Amino acid sequence: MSESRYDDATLAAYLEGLLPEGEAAELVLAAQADPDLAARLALAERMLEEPVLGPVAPPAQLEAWLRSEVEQAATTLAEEGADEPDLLAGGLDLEQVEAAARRVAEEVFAKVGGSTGTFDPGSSGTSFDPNSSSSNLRSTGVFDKKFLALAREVKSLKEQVEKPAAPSGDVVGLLATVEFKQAFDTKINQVLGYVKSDVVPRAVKKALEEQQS
Amino acid sequence: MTRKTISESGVLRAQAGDADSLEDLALAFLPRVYGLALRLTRDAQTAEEATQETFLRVLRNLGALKNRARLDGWILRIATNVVRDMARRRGREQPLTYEPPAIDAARDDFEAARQKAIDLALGELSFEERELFLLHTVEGMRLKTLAKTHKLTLPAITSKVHRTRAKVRAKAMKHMRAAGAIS
Repeated sequence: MSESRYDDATLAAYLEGLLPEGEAAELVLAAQADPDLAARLALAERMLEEPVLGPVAPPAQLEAWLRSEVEQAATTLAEEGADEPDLLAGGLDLEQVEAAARRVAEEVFAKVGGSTGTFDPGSSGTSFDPNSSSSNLRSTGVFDKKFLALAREVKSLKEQVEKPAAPSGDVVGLLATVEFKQAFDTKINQVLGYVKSDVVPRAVKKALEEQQS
Repeated sequence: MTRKTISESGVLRAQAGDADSLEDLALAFLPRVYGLALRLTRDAQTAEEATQETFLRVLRNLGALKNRARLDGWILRIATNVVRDMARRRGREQPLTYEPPAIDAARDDFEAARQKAIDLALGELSFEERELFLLHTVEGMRLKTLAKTHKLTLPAITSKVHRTRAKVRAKAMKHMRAAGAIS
């Protein structure tokens, strides 16, 4: 008897919230009184449970074609990226690191606007830990993954720089490493100081202005 | 076949031209893109062409992708646009040659029968309905994103998606019942 009144389409409509409230309530009552209807309803519910459909195995020739295209594309991308600062390469340009961090920070805070009031990248520049899940930046919900990735890269570089230099016997090389380390620390602090003292106050001011208007 | 994922750092390396990372990325998405194209177009040849065109665009523009966390949505949107363009160009001449595997009530467990039934049900929908179902319910694209790409309000797209899902549920149940997979 429930079959005729509640067909599959009606059960499906109910599950998608498409039935008017009254009809939905009637169906629920009917299902409570009719085990067969309840079973059909449960079955309809299972129809779209995850995973709904899996990926399809592509033809072998398509995969072969894609591999050859990837090879060409990798060359092009590597060439295109040659003008960008390679933050992980040995030839580090600190000016470029700072410029990149500044640019990303500006983008981030321009984007998030008013929700940056509690952001504090740390009391001192070097104490900011981009890998920490308790970072203020993350907890405000305003963190930008691009900025975080950059911060991680900078931190990783910093850790590399802070490793004791291997004794090489080359005094000139050792001095260069120490100088390099100092210069790098200075630049990192400048980047984080800029974010804290310049970008954040501007974002907070903007948020306050928006609230007042 | 399980769905592979790519980390953001993997995408970053691929963008920098690291061949291994780029290959990982491309091959991880190949079954998804091909599956989406096949289920949308219902034709293997068209799906293959659409997949090639999609990856040409992906590889050409990957370097410019800024939001690496949204790689999935970005690639799937490209694939959908490519398929839609192809379908529009071919119009009614579009062949529908793809036949999903039939339900075998004696061998298939509920999950296998259900997947086949849904695939069969998709063939009875319009292109737009298939697109909404595949992008939202199968690929997990958010309603907000769909509203934007379809130039509809959120309530309008929500309603469309739910109506489509209801249709798929009902049709899939019919297929399962007809095959004897459920009583």
